[in-house]
Amino acid sequence: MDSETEDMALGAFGIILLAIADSQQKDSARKHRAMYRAHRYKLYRESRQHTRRRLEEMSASQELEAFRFSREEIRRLAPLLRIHEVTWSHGVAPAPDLALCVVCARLAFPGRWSTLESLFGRSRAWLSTVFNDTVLFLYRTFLEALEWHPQLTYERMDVYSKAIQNVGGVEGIWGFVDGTFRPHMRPIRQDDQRVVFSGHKRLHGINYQAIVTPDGIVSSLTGPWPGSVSDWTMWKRSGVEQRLRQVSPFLLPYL
Amino acid sequence: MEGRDILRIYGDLAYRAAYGTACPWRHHQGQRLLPAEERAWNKSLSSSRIAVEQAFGSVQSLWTYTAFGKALRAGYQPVGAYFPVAVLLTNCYVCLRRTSASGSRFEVPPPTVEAYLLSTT
Repeated sequence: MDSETEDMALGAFGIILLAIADSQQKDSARKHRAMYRAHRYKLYRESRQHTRRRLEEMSASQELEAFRFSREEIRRLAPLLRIHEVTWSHGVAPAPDLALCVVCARLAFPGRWSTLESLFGRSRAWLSTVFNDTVLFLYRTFLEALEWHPQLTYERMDVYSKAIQNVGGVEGIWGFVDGTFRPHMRPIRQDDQRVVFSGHKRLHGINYQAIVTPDGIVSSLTGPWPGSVSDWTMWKRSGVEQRLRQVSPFLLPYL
Repeated sequence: MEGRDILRIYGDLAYRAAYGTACPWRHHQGQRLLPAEERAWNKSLSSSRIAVEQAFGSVQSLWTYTAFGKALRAGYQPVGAYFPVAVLLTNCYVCLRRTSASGSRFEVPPPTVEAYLLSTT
């Protein structure tokens, strides 16, 4: 090779050497940072170990206050709510009982995440992931049953109507319907604001329609509807009327 | 083919009488001008109708997070799912404890939790 290409080859070789050295430095810097982060997270987890034991040591009244259900009730509910079938995101893997405890604790009182962090001994990221995953799973699984519960056969509705007749003296009523407005924070975009604003309540929120039967259960819950729809619109759009027609096909319609 | 009586749900003044619904008697000039038996009918049902309000009240008092609007951000959280899950858990609570705010008035026992949840499959 002549001197020019020699110089160029040497220069290229030098650049490659520098690049390797530089990336090695970057690699080792990256490794150092990763080790530092792992060490800090280990310290954080160890600092929380004592709070995990607190969950087992809770007394019955503390459990009721935190979760609204007792320990036995949670153990009974978790398989019935099929929490073992949840697909978890971000690599969390809670036991079904623990996931139900997280959901109950979060819904029971509007508090800061730091309270739940010290209760469960887990980070707020873990708690938030478990909470939202479980809530979305329960919502999707039980949505149809909430809209019209399978126990609402004509015979059951007859039992209800007789109970109401005993109390109120009016026959033929099996349940009571009402809409409920649940406010939330005002959305950012004006189009969204217009849709969820209820002029009647002067707040932004979401509407649901519920039918309550005399055994104290909400036998039908339809929604969510935007806050601007009225109770009667919810009734018309909810499809409960079609369900009623299906349940009692032999009716002689009269008004 | 026997004809069964139609069974309706009872709503408040926001509802109309249609298929499957019943509502209080209204007078276009004001409720005080209603005839006496219509007013008595309204009154006998209105004290039962508060069962709905009591159900919402017990959902709110058990699961207060759903009632705290300042904590719910519509685009960032599945806000529409929180209330139905709270209602589901309240129904489980009523089935487990066999008691509710309105249940003592009507004396219809709720189903067991297993019957309530397993019939949904």
